[in-house]
Amino acid sequence: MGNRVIIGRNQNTNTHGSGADIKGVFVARPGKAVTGSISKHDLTLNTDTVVSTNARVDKGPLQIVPTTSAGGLNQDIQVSGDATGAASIGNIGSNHVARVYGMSNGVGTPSVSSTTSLNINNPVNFTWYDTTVASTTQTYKTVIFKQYSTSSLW
Amino acid sequence: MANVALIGRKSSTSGVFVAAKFNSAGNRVDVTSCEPYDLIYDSRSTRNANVYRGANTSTHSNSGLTFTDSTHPDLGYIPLTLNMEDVHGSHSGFSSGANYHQISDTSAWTTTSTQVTQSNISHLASSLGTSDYAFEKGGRATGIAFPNATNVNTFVLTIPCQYGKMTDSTYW
Repeated sequence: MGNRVIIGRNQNTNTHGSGADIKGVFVARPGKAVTGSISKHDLTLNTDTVVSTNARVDKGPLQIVPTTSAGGLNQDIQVSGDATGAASIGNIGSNHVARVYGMSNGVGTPSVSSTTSLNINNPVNFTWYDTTVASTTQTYKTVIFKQYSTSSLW
Repeated sequence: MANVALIGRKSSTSGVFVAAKFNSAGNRVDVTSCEPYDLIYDSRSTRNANVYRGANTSTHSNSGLTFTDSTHPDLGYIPLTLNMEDVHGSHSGFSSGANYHQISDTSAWTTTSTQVTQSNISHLASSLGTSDYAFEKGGRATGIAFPNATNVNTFVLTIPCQYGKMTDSTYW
């Protein structure tokens, strides 16, 4: 059985390039040894942030932000036509990224503000058969992802 | 205080690293007795969604967003990407007496191993039921009134999403 986990100093240049000597938490996928002849693609967890050519490592795992103090991870937000619904997101600070999905009747254009709260605006109306129809109440399902940076490309 | 992390043997498997999440009451679950879905990290999983790169842009041009560079080389496969933006509501059109389309989510994207590009989805639904089709392509075509994406947030994930690359012998 190979070593699966490193917590601390990682000297395996197979995953981080020649000359790399980094610190963090590193976990190899099942059947692979984290200290062996593996590639960076064989790491399922890699907390290091060192970047060098041909030695790319990951920013971190994709994380879902709790939306309630009890740790709830998603919310259904019901919004009336021509109105705004909101959910508070207060557990991990600002600059979250929201994904809205599962609209109950498939109409409307939500506008999402995802800093410390999630706002969804229902439109005044929508078009159906080239006919303007007043927007109805909709239920939006939401999930919030943790952002790692606000840079344009990071 | 529950056991929130475990390094070593779990059940009959050695070399395990697991960490627990919070339960609905706001307490950590015990990693020694919880179900797999209560773990926020589990090294027994073959592949995790690690973030390779991301972007926050006001919009994407038709040429797409290139997420590779000298320090972010091509992963060797088309990665799974998540794209979130403000304008992804419905679109409807009416071209003649018998043809119309209604699409509930117009946020469509094309991903290559180096780029993410906003796409069109066009759908012609005939009342005769014989010419229904849908297609998409990279970039925004002219003459179709789909809105451009705005306030785009992109995650490029280290999950292969390409035919021939999602096998144990490659990257899966």
